[in-house]
Amino acid sequence: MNVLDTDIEAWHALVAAAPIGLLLWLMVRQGWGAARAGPLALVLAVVLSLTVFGTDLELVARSQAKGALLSIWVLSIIWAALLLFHLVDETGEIQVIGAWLGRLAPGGALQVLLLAWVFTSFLQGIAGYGVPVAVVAPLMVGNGFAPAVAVITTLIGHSWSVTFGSLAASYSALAGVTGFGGDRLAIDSALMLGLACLLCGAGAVLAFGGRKALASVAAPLLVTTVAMSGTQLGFAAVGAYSLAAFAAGTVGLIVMALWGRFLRCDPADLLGDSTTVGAGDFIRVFAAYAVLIGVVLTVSFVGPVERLLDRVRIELAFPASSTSLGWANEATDSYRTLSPFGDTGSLLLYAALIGYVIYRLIGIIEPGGLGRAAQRTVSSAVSSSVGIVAMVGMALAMTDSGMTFALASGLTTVVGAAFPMVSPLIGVLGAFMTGSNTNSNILFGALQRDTAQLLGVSVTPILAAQTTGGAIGSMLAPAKIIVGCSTVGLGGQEGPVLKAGIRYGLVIAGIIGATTLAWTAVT
Amino acid sequence: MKRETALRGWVLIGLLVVSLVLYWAADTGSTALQAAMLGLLGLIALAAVWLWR
Repeated sequence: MNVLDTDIEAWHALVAAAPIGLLLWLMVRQGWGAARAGPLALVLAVVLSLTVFGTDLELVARSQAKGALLSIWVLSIIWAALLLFHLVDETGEIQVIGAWLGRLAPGGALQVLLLAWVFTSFLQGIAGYGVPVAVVAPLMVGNGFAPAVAVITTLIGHSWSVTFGSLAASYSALAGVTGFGGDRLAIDSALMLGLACLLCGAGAVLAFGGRKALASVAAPLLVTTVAMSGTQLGFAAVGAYSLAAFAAGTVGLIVMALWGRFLRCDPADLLGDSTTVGAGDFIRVFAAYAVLIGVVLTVSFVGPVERLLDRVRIELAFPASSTSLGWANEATDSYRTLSPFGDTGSLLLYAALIGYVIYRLIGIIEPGGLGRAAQRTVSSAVSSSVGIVAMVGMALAMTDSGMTFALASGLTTVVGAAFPMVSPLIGVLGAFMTGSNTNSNILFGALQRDTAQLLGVSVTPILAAQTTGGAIGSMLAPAKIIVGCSTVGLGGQEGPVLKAGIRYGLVIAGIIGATTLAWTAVT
Repeated sequence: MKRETALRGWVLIGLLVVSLVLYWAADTGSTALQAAMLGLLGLIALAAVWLWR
């Protein structure tokens, strides 16, 4: 089916915007937390899907079951990431990590580049869905950054690397759903993401310290942008998609380390006392995170290990469904396969358990530390989890009823020939709604392809803009914001962070849109 | 554990469990069951709005 063949009209877009509008109004203007605003938006989305978008109870019921599966997968990552963090925090020496990394980057703005932009991108290369934010934001707080600044800068900084991160899951989804796989799409996407790389680095520093801070780190920002985006482009061009973001993050860390050699400061200054932080101190505290990197790399690249952990799988099949307006959802054998021993959340849990054993062996954590970390995890994660379950449920209700499609197609109808300008904004919308660059590409990839063909513009730059928008949009996905806030003690205060995310996300997406418009005009 | 924290935990479990039960409710084809479970989901959602006030 051509995705444009439905009875959904432009006015439906206004109605479809209501749940998102309510959510944003409650969180940004009224200061409600996600656990309070999310459930209300969920109820409104379900009511509108039944009354305006022609769904039946069965379709809504299945959409909520899909939401539960996706939520369980997301929550397993969040709970395990929080456990890992609280475990490291139990050592009482978490600031050592920040201080050591600070050695490589003297000065606040340079540390923002290293931690919130480069280190998060490196982590995104191996483990996505909020893990970079959940890991790095608390490290930055431990290093003296304000909690809100830590969350905002990490959200902005890591987002450019999402498409080729997590072993290129988002890129693969885009290629699969549009049938436009191959070198051309990979190169166009990597070029567009290269621009996003620069903008995200600059945005993170601006969010930290304004233009003055940005001017102070212009040189390392440009050099590292060239190094990271060039590496990603090179790997994408030769078809090594799954390694592109990981390699880019690794090269970024090397470049920043080399840069820091010329500007090194005493890490004891960062700790505010005369403590001397050596490489050994860093290694022993960082052990749990090092184990995480090792576990993820092993599972990702050692086939037999991956197959062994993936032997137990929970799969629920969903039949095809449609609304009275003609929106159709394809049947699927498994909407969100859960692999209890091989999912990202499980890998984080392994890292936490192995890390605890290591900490006990080297004597930097007291007996019972794991239990205390688990207790702190439960008390800090419940509120965020309710917000996430509600918002995922809202997103699935909107997606399966065609409301999300109505929003995107309404936007397309309004802008006409200026469609390339809003192409990344549609990607942003998809990521905001679903919390995922991958899901955004699945949701809107075909719409972008069909619209580009109808307007007679080059398709691959439009698809590149879609996935870049999806990557950028992940910075303002409520689920990710909730994760970040919960790790730095800002639970229930997600509104201001969301507001900042929207501001930076829309500006970056606007620049990407203008670039896409110019690009499609000359190709 | 404080009573309110426990209640919030039950809201989370309730949202997830009822959403999963909806999968089987949809399979039965019973409109009454689906309406009842969706109504319950709505009530739990509104309870969350009240609990986090």
